[in-house]
Amino acid sequence: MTASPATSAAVAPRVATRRVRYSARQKFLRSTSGLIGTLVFLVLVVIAIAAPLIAPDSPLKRAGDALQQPNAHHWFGTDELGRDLFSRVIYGTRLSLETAVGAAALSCVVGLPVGIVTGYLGGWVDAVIMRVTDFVLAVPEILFALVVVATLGSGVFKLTLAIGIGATPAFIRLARASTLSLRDTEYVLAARSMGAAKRDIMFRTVMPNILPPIFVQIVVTASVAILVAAALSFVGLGTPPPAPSWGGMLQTSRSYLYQQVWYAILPGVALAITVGALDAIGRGLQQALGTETATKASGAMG
Amino acid sequence: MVAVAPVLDISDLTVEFDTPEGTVRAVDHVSYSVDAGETLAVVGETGCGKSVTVLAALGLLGAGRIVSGAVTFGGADLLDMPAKKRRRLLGHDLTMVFQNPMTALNPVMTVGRQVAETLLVHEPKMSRGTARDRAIELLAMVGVPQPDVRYNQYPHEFSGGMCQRVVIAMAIANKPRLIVADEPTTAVDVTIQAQLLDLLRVAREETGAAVVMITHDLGVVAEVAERVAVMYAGRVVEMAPVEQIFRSPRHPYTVGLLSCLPRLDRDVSELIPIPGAPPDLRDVARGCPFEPRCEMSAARSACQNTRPPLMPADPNSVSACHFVDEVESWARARRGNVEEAA
Repeated sequence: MTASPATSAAVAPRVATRRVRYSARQKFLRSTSGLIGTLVFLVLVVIAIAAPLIAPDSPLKRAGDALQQPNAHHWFGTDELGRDLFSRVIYGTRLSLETAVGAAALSCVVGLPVGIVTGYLGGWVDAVIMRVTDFVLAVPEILFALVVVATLGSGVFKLTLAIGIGATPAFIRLARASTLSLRDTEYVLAARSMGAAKRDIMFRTVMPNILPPIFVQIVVTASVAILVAAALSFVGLGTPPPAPSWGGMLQTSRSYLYQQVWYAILPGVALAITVGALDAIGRGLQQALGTETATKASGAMG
Repeated sequence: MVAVAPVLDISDLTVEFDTPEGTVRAVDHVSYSVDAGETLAVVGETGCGKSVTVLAALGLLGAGRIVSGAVTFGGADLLDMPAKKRRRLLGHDLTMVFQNPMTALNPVMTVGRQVAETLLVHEPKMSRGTARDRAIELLAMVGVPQPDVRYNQYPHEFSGGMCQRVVIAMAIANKPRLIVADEPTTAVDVTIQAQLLDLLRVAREETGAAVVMITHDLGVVAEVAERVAVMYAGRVVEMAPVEQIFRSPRHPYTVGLLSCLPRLDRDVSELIPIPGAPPDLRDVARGCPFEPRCEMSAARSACQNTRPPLMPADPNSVSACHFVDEVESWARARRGNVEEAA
């Protein structure tokens, strides 16, 4: 095809800067909280994966006398059954992160598509799904998880499932609200005018455009999941005993506060660091992606 | 006009929107058609139903309700067609160019892929590589410099004019029979406007497509159109070949629109705006919708009580005015008055 005189007289290309494209990532890395949070979280992930290499003892087997004070063999002492406290907390990282990642992944994988579909299609589909969502949202997350665990029984998998289900409505609402705001944009209309199928518009046009607030929500969910899991273990409904869960350790430690103070401090500090790191990542992401208002609206879950 | 079947034929289309304040009739028994290779301009003020008419005709309306009317495309009924069949036409035989190029492209997909997608949607067997090559070819054709580099860039790295070129590339990718351009030049500045209009003309010549150009800019109309439909308050009030619209308009509203336009060939020291605003479509008076703003009507009872039908004004044009015969002399007198006053 030949270019017409008009097209060959096209304006000179404005050389676009690459800087703009990466600005969100750069902003995130430049924000102190985002950077520190990420580094701490990465360290935690390494600890969880390499737990057998880092922990000096088994988390489940007796490694000496009960309730020892910190010493060269047991840096933070031992618990009431003579297990090495440090090793148990290290292995506990694994449990916590498993629950966090599992619950966040589950709620996102279910909530995101459901929210997009309900937002895009509207009508009675929307009405029904939103009423169910409202119902789940009306129940506090921890109470919801408590009821699910009480009926299904305890265990890491069931706990993750319970927390994941409880966190799903927040994703549905967030995805739905974002979809609604995009549904009438010109590029969605343009995609329709190009003969794109509904499925393609929902998952190839709309979905990539609503991801920023979803990322933030994933991080928020992960941190809430760790807290809820710990709380449930603390009341004895989370991970059943021999497993080294932080919440479970905190609970048992109450009886030995005067004999072994590290028993309570160590899991508590681990919990605080993990949740703090996730929180910092979430805040960094929010700043970088400019989604502060979007997530605040749906953050009514903690 | 030669007796060929029109590419797009809209007849008697009425579209209503339900709002909490009542029913709005945004499109009121509108009929127009375009022949192959022809450009029809649809002009009118904002909110007069220009865009709603085509969106409804193409089945892209979000909220409104089509009350009556028929739309055929190449002989096939567009409104009764199953959605799947209509989707095959959309983007292939029948494409659209939108008003705001910066928002008509998906911000998180590279422009090249968006062009390639329009090819792939309608030809799933095409290989990704072929689609890519074709897309680069199309970008070059619409005057995007360094198309192979620009292929991998995102819309925010493009200027508005360049984005509109990409949108036009998508519109002509599948060699359509009809291009609907919804105010394609409103959002870009004047120099780019001229380039884009030329580009659309070239695109039309190369694909042989008919064009429906929706605009409120009479300069654009003069530039590209062969025929003009003037819309007011959801109705077509005049339809005529383009020279005739400019030389001897047959409806007071068209006269008003033209006198809002600065012209080089006439010594007019002041532009005359049309007083008032278009009527509230929730509550259009019984009579002629333009009557409250019409200087020619002078509150005659026919204007106030009877809605004027669209009637042939002369062999080439139709007009919806009770006193169509008076328009010409009234317009001349009005011009005289203004020149005298100046």
